[in-house]
Amino acid sequence: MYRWIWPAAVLIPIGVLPAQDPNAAKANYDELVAELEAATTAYSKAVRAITQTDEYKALRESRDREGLTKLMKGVTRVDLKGFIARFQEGAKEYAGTDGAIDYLTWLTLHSGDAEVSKTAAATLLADHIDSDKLEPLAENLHLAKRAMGAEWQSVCEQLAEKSPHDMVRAWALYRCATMTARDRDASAKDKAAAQEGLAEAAKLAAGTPLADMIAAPEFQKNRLQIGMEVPDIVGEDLDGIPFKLSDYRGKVVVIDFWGDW
Amino acid sequence: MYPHERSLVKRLANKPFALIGVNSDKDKVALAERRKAENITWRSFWNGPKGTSGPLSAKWNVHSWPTIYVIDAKGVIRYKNVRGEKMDAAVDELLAEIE
Repeated sequence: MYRWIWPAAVLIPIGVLPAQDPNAAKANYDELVAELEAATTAYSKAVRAITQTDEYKALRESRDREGLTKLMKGVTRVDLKGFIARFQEGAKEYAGTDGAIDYLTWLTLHSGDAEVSKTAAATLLADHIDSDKLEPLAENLHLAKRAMGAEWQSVCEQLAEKSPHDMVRAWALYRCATMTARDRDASAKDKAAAQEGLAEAAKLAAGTPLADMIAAPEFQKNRLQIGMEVPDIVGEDLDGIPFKLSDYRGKVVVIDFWGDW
Repeated sequence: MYPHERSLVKRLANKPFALIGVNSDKDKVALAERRKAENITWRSFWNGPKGTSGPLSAKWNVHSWPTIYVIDAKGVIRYKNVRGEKMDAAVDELLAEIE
């Protein structure tokens, strides 16, 4: 008789499964992000196109601000509020499961809205603090500073203190510390604590790019000065082929950190 | 920037010289088109999908682009952030040392 309890218990979640399947959550999230990116690209393209028109150039020439504003109003803006609502729907649909984390992280970092950002962060801390999927949140937490204002520090500290995962803690410690270092009003005590946090983050992140990033000012001072032997760079080229800077020893080399922008 | 680099690479094609980039574009596919359009022939490390926050620029403490290092044939850093004619002069000087 008890045998029937199991199938019944399994059947109920199956009915709910499509909504809670983590793969579906991820796919839906990726789709939404792609849609947002497409909208953003379309907007900047439209703006660029307008700036090439004679009408725009003439208005600029005559410094007709009103005319320019009017002209720009013709461009369809990205419906950020609409997107926020859709990310919130996703967070709600997958509430309490790992699937919600991506949505809540986006809302925290990119909504640009104080209430939305704070609410999403509070939900992440309350429901998901044990998840290692909070790493992107911790890594990019500085992006939420403007929206969150004074509450940012507390969110950062809670992540650093309560997460059981080294990399989440390391990123949070790093973000807290760098924010304090930049804060002109921070006390000497706060700054000393930030330095300790940074050292702790370096330990937790040993062997990862974050540890390199924390060590970078020292690395530059001790390894990248004129007259010093250049440190090797090991990586892949743009076609995915592995190579090393030291492959070029015996040649004069210009190293150029560049980007197409 | 590209025209100068292109001409430098072309002029020194038969010399013991290499221009090695560390590229911080996030999108390698879009970049492939740009490399073709701009005739960017020199080899670059890729800084990864995080773009300017990638591991190579992070390790080298690079916060402004472009950042330039000129290395002699023995592997010693000789100049930093030389651009245009100054870059040409630095490279020519270091080539003269080994000729």
